[in-house]
Amino acid sequence: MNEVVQQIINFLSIGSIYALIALGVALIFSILKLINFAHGELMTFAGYAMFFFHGFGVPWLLLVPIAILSSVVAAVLLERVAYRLLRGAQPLTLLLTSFAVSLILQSGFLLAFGARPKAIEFPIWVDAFFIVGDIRIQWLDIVTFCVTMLIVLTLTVFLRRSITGLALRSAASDFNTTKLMGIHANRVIVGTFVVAGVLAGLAALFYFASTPVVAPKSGFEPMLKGFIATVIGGMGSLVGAVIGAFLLAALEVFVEVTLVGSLDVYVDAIVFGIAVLILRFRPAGLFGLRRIEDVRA
Amino acid sequence: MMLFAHDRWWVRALSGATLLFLLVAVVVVAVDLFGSATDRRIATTFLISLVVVTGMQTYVGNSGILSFGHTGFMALGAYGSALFTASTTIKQRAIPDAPSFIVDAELGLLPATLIGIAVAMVVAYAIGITIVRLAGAAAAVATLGFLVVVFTVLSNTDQLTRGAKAFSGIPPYTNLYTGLIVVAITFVCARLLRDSNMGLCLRSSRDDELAAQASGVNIIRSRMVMWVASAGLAALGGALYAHFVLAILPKAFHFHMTFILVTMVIVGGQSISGALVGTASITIIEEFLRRAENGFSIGSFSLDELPGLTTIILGLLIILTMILRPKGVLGRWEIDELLVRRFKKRTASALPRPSAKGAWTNSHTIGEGHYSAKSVVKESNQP
Amino acid sequence: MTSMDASRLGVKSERLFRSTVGVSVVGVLGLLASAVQADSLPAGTFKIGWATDKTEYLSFVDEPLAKGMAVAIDEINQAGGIAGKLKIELDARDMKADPMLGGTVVQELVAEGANFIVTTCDTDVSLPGAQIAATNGLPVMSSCGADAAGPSQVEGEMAFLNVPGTHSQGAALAEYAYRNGHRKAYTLKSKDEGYTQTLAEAFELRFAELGGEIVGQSTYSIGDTNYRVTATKMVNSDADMIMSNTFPTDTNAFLKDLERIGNDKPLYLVDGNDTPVVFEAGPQLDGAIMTTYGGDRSEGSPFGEFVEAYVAFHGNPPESLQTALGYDLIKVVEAAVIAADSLDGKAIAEALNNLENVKGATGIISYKDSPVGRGLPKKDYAVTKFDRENKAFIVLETFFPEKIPNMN
Repeated sequence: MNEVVQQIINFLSIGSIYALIALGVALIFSILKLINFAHGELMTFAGYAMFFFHGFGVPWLLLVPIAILSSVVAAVLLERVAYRLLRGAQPLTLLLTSFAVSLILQSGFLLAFGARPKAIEFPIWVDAFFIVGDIRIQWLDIVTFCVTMLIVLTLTVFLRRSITGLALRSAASDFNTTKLMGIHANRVIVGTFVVAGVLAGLAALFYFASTPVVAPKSGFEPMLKGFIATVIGGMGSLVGAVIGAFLLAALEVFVEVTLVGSLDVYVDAIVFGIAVLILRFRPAGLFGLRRIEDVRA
Repeated sequence: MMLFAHDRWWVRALSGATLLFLLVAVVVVAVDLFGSATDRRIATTFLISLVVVTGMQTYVGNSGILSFGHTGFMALGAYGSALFTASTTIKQRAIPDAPSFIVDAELGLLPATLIGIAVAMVVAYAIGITIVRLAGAAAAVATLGFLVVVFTVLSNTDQLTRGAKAFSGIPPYTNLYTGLIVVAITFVCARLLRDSNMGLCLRSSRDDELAAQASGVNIIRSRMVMWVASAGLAALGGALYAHFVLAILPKAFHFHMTFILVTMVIVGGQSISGALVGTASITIIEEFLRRAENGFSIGSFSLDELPGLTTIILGLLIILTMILRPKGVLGRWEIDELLVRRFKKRTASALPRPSAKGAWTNSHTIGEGHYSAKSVVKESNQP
Repeated sequence: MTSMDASRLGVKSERLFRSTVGVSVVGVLGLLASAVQADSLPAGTFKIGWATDKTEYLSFVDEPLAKGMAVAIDEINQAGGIAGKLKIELDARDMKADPMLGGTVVQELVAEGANFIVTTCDTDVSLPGAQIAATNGLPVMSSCGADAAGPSQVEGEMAFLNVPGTHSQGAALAEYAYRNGHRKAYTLKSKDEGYTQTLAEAFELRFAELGGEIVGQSTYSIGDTNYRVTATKMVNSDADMIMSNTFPTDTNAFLKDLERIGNDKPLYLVDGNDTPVVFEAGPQLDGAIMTTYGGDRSEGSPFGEFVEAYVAFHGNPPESLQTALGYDLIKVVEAAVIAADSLDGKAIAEALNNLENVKGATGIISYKDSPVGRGLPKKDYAVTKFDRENKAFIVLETFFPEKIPNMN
């Protein structure tokens, strides 16, 4: 029984981090039709920022905004330096560009910080916990879950209620018409990247709190997870991305818990297999709208 | 020149493939005659990549859908061929628990390679049922997923592949000339597929999906045929790889190799000539950078090297290609088609251009129809 | 084969004859090897070609190895070179953890006159390169690859490991655990590499052989960042110890997650964790031990002297055990060349096969009649615990396992 409860807590915590990543991926996709492979590198960037500034003795209360700020700056720079040159290009072109950007950043980290993983020293209070019955509950898990829910809520309200949100949503459905309506295109796009940067920075904080080590390729794994979650949930749907993230986490936890012995090496294969199966029946993901490029016989 | 513009599509296809092959053959023979052992190795590496990239291009180029999964087919081809050609004594030591039809088999290169290709094609068909329906991001995720699945399965079927550990004792069949033969086969297959009715359908769907569907093109069917065929060609390249490297392991067929192959596919363009241009240019750039990197390290040891420089430059190259020529250096054209275009422009500039508005046709047997289809494309390509 | 190759071969066999005589003398003298006058060695340079990984997933171990090698090379060359006259030159070239490129790089190094080939830290990835080196008559050693099956896959007794290998380490860990009263073990391994797989398998075999029981097995993939599910399973099992084949960063993530679940089972870790990065893994380290090398780390010991030389050369303390392994690799090559008294590859390989009692930073190294297998050195394991406060490894015991499980 304890184990079941513990695994449910695990699922919620993993799902929350995936959700933060997937939200960032989905947001950029919905506005720009850009699959940002480099989203993981924004997280790595925040990780190295924490490592770097911690080395200067910057206190933790300041490191949190620094981490978020650094991935925001990185996101905006990416947009300015790479993606702006390709605005309006084919989705495939954008996908390949972000793929290249991701690899360039990884190599850049390698050049700047070397191949050896760098440890980020988190303060002890990160590991604070309390005990209910026989179960240890981490404050970090609770914070992660609450922050994620809060972000989802704020983002939803922001997109529904505010003018900027309206501009973003209309840009997502028809960018050209939005421009004709007098909305400043650059502002919308830069705004999107700022929000994506904040999401990546937050995700990085929680992610590195559980794995306090940063290496040039740290961003790859979380990016892949966010990417799968977004595709399962439906590209371009924010709610879909969040649900996709929790679904992916549930799948991972479930498969790993139930598979015994020699079979548990196939977790990755099974999770991917199920994801592909979902795409078989809903090519646009669970909550995405069917697009023209997804052909059905 | 007459052959390149011949009335029959397969004559055009074969002569185009021959032209490309001759280009490759001249370079390879020159390397064999004048190059060092290292140069010959690099030329062989180039031929292997060329086979796989041409195979990938058969799907990616013609359909316009990216695949990260072809390295997986390459792995299947490599393991298929390796397992059936390695000597029984080696297998009894390395994989004693494998099924006896594998342990006891000691086939020649040809049947073993065909087994590898067949396995890859069957797998391609099975997953193709899902994958050919996807495009864009979903296709990228699904094919990446396939790559991860192949990697996981190969790494964990210890009794068959030695798991993550290297399987060695593969007979060394690959050299520059077997490589050239395989390239010739690949070029002919790829070019015939591209110029066939099926290929034309697929390319039409790539350029304008709605128009293609409206013209009665069965996109799914043509995608499936090309997907399975391209998996087969990638597996052929994998077999070539196995008999060259002589020790294969699942990790060799993973993200790193996928990155290099995809770069080659992207930079070149959406045609077989594009595959050649992409593979050749990336191989040359990579080798140049590698030698430059090594140049720094000779002499004083303390001189700092720049690991990762190659990747950065290849990445910048992709971005540059995407900005300047989003469809790759050669775009959708084959070299021989470009030659014909040039030639026709020069000789027939006085003649009125074939008016072909709306003359989209699947009938490839008529040279004019094929030509006019292209001029539609050309016009629509220039805003 | 060209006539030039043939004539070179003739020279080789002549040298081989001379060197075998030399080797047998040296073998008897053992420790005194370095004192033997290496008469036949020409003055000049001894070129070590290294097909290393500078960019991909093995670069994080090859990087410190290179730094350790630099210390040893500097030390030897300052003293005039091997036997006082043969300067060592290291030509390290990136093979990007790609087996095919690895082969090409080795081919290139052979063409450029390398006398000895070192490959990257994984015997599987470097196998094509190792085979090319052996075909060209050069001895080849993996920088720190530990899969005990590695050398046997290369023809002609030309391939070597720089460490005793996974089978003996797994056995050492099992014997130590059993001696400390553990009877039920939960293991965590990864099938991504020979190292992360065979070490745990050797542990399982030896532990069961001693009378222990493996009550649970889990796997991970290298680079995994989430171990919570696995950790929860482990904590809720009836195991009395956990054996983990992880190394950082995986170790850090795994131990953090164990801490979250509130694990109090002792942890048994492997030598890949011998790096200061591991100290970020948190309080779980207090209940952990690890097998590694270099039993005596006090000042004035070979390890202590190495650290001193390292700091003098690089200006900062070593960042992981691999630095010492790199240092030892060069020391072993030096000893083998002196013993062979020849630059011929086959002679050096044979001398290496008969090498005994080389004093390395990580212990006394012997390749002759190794209980682990040909090509694998015998070197004692050190069991250490973790002193988080001072970021130091405290050696508890030094020993070599009594029995090594027979694995394929």
